[in-house]
Amino acid sequence: MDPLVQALSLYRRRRYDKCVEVCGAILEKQPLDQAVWYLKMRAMTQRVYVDDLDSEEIPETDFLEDNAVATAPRPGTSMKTAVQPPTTALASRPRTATGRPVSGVARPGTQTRPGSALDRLKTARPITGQSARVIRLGTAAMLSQKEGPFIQVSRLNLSKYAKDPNLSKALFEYLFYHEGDIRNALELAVHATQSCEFKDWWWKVALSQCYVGLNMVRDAEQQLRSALKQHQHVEIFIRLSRIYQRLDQPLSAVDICKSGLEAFPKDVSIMTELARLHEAVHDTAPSIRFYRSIVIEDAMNTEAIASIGMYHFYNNQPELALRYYRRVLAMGAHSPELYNNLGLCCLYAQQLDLIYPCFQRALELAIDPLVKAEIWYNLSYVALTAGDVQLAVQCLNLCLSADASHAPALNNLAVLYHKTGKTNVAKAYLTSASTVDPNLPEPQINLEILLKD
Amino acid sequence: MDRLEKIIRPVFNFELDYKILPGLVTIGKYDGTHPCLTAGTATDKVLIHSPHKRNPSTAGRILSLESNKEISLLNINQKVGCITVGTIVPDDEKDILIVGTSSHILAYHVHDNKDVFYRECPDGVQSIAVGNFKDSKSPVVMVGGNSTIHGFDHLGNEIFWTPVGDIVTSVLFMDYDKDGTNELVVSSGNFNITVFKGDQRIAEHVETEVVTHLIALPENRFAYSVMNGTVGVYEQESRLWRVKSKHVATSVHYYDLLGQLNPQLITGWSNGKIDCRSVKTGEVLFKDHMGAGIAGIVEGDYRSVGKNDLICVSTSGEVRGFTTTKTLIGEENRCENDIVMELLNQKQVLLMELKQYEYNMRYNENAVNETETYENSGVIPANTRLQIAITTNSDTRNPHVEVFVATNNSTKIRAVTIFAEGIFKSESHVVHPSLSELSSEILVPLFLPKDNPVDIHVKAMVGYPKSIQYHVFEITRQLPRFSMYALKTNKGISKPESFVQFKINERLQRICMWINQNFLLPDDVEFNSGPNLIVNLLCLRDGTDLVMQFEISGKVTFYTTNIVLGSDLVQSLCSYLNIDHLESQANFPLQESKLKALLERLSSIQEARSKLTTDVADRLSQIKFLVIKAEDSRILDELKSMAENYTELHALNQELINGHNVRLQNYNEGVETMKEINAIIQHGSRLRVGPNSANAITQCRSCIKNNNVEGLMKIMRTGVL
Repeated sequence: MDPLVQALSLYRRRRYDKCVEVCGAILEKQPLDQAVWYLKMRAMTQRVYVDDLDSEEIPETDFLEDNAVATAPRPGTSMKTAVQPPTTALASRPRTATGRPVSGVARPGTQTRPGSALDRLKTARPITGQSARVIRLGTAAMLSQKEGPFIQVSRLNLSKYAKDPNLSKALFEYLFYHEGDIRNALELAVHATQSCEFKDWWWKVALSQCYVGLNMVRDAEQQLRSALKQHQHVEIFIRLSRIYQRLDQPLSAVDICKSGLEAFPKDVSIMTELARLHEAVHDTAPSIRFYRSIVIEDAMNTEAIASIGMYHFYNNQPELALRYYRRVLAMGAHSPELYNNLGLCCLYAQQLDLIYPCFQRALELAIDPLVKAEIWYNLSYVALTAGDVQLAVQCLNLCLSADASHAPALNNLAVLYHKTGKTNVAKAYLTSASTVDPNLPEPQINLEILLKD
Repeated sequence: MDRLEKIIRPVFNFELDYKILPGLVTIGKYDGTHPCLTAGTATDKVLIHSPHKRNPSTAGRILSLESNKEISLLNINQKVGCITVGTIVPDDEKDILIVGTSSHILAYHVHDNKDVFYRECPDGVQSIAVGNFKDSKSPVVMVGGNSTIHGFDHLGNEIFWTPVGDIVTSVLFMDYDKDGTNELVVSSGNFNITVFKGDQRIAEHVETEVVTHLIALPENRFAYSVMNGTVGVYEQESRLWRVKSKHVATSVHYYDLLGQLNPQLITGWSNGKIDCRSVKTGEVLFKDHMGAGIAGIVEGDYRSVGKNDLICVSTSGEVRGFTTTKTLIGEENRCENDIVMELLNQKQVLLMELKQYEYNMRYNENAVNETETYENSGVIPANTRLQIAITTNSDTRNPHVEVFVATNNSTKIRAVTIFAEGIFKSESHVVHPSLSELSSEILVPLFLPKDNPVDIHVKAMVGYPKSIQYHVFEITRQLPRFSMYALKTNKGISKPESFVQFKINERLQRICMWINQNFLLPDDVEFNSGPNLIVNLLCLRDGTDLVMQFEISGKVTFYTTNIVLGSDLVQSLCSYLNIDHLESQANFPLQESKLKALLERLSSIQEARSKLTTDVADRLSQIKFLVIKAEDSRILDELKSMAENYTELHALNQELINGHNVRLQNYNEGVETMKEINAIIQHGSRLRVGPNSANAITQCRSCIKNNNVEGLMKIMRTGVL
């Protein structure tokens, strides 16, 4: 078989590693074969391609960064200052340690560590959304550098390639996703958009991706707006909405998504974006409305089903929540969080026989210590409802062994010790709880009461 | 004055605890009802003071300030150039905050925390006004840049564009000509106040310095303030009054402070003085003083009493509110007193004058008999007259306009003072020869920098060398617009290649009248016969030639290398002959090649700029990374790597500073280039008159947007694309 045909076939079958190998072999013989060069570039890009729309983490409060215009926006107009839910039933809905509502599914941005912005940065986690991707892609680039890099980016005549409409886009994606070299990708995009006389919306989106990477959010906004004038595409709407989320203007993002829905009625991606946005500003009713519309369009959408389930759970309808979670389970999802939720639903729906099996499954599946801690914390609650204080204490201790900085667990332990008469131990636990999370009100209040006595 | 100060006391007084930049103060009803004081701070932020905010919620993590819950800050991240508010979104009563920086304009919905629009203004934003203009139904955001004015609608689309010669310091919407629709009044860095009606400029006033503020007053008047400390009021073409101070007015507003039904003009000065003047006369009616320079004066219902208060903000953040005084205590008494005082003063002056005349008369009677000359007694003959002649002098090395002042007898001129606007560095020029060189005639050379008609007020002190008192003679003359052009003798006549040519239907006799009125020629030009009338002139500024050729068929050609002169001539001739439509052919090869070069330079500058910006953004992310790493090392007690990180950070910082300087250079170059381009376009459009001129501008704009250099050249030549 002709090696090029073989390589193409491999590429189509997504066997990118093999395809790269074959292409490399051809290129050794014919170093100037553009078709093979192109194919190898595509294959290498595809191998490491990440959907940067869904994996992008919007830094909630990024330090050294003040893209957001308002520092103290009116409640309800910002992700930082969400309104309190109106009904008391929903007020009990827990929040993450950073004050954001717990969402139905875990996705980037919904789980943040407690503490201030700078505290969070002191951990080994990536600093910004940008550097996260750069690090990830940087390692990917190293993998392929067995015999030196495939393309010497610094030697590339970018303005020459930018004029070639067939090569330029592939080269851009290679630079952006594979090399993680945003600056050169940007330069290529600038040349390319000039050479096509600013008529290709694709390049504008590409430019906006680069600008977002370099944290030049306003420039990205401009490019996307101009792209939107030329061509309406779901991706552009969502990217633009993300820009406004970065600028902490959720209402602008909602406006963009709504205009997107006018162009693409009932589009699931846009509706998901809208539902998440409303959830982020604690506007539960419209959020659930959008999740329900999503389910009508796409009955297999896990995120929507789980979110509706959670809504019912915190709305004192555990039976309904159970139905939704079982639906997720029936679709093949198999995660400790799901079993944990199922267990809790069973507890509240009085299906007592299923509580322990669910939690057992959850514990079996849990690998992440943080998740494990949460499950033990929930189990302690089950024990309390059964009236078994000893078991509850044990569960909480196990929770703390998995995650030593679990402030609610510390607080609850303190309360339990206080009940059993060990006031001094309780005080110690409360003090450590309030040092671990100074923003949690319960330990503070409890401590005050204890000190009063 | 003491008496006045006691009458009006501030109704409220508080501190913002922020340094406020002068001029960056406005007030807006962001929720549609409650006014919020808004000001630009020295740290690139915009401060919003909202005392009416209902108990600020403590939910979430509001970053409102610990010290003052009423103040919230907006990050702008660029130097704030100007701020204003206006309701620009249709069907929304809430005010939109509009912030201009050196390169962008942001229209921001404060209440909903969202952008209305955000767009690049490569020409910078120096001033903003919101109002209805032309035939647009919704308000227009008019943005004055470094050399142009842009108009945007509420979506950020450009709907108006026109070049202005220099930095636009202030933009104002007002009904200038009492026709019920708004005109655009613009003040620019070349000392002009220009009035636009639609795309056409309908009036122009020239001031002595850069006009910094404009404000509309009731009854179609507007007030202005000038960099050199002048404040004045215009009613259409005529200036009602003006006053000058050694401080600079930083804010002008009008408000009925004294309860006189007609609002007064309130001026805030850079030294912290606030004064309240009568709109009609400029008389000071009230004065107050704040601790620091005034940053801005606005009005709004800040106490929720249903009536607007006058709010003065100082640069140190002090806020003082005043309200209309209900009744002025003892006003009637005061009026009487004032009138008596005034009359007494007048009487005093008249008595003095009378005494002087009596003395003179007595002396003149005696003079015939006495042997003493006039000289010894310091009195001049009664028949002394002062003569003045204004000519051009092209023979010396520095050609100029000469003012020749002489007396008709042996009296000497001790000194001559000339008052005129815009000729001298300040407003006046004094010539006082040394005692030994006194004579009865004096030559004053004048160098006129611009082709504008100028009124010169000459005051000559006439007497004798030993006189203690001098007689002052006052003469006022108007210099014609094109004074700096001298008639050329026949030798060495050459025609410049560049020209502007057009056709008018007018008798040559009337054109002769125009020439005689607008040029300073030794003899009046007359047209007797022949196919055409040719006037050869020499520009006294740069020695270039100007040839005006009027053919009997109506064809007019001005040959000059100076496009500014060409356009000035066209405008002057057309306004004299009341022509409101004129199309012309022009050929200015020098300007064209310059324009080409400038456009090329501009595109290369812009390219470099985008690259520099990405450089900075890239470095910033590296800095973030290093700060965190250094902080981590500090916590881990790894002092060595911490020091390494900080050294690296320092180097990066230096690089950033260097990069910033390069960017600044690039920015300034860009601004200069843009300014020159716009100036050429402006002059090109001024070679045409009326709708043709406006049309040329619109087409130039579209050519620049599409980078159509050839089209631009064609518009310059023919006026149409």
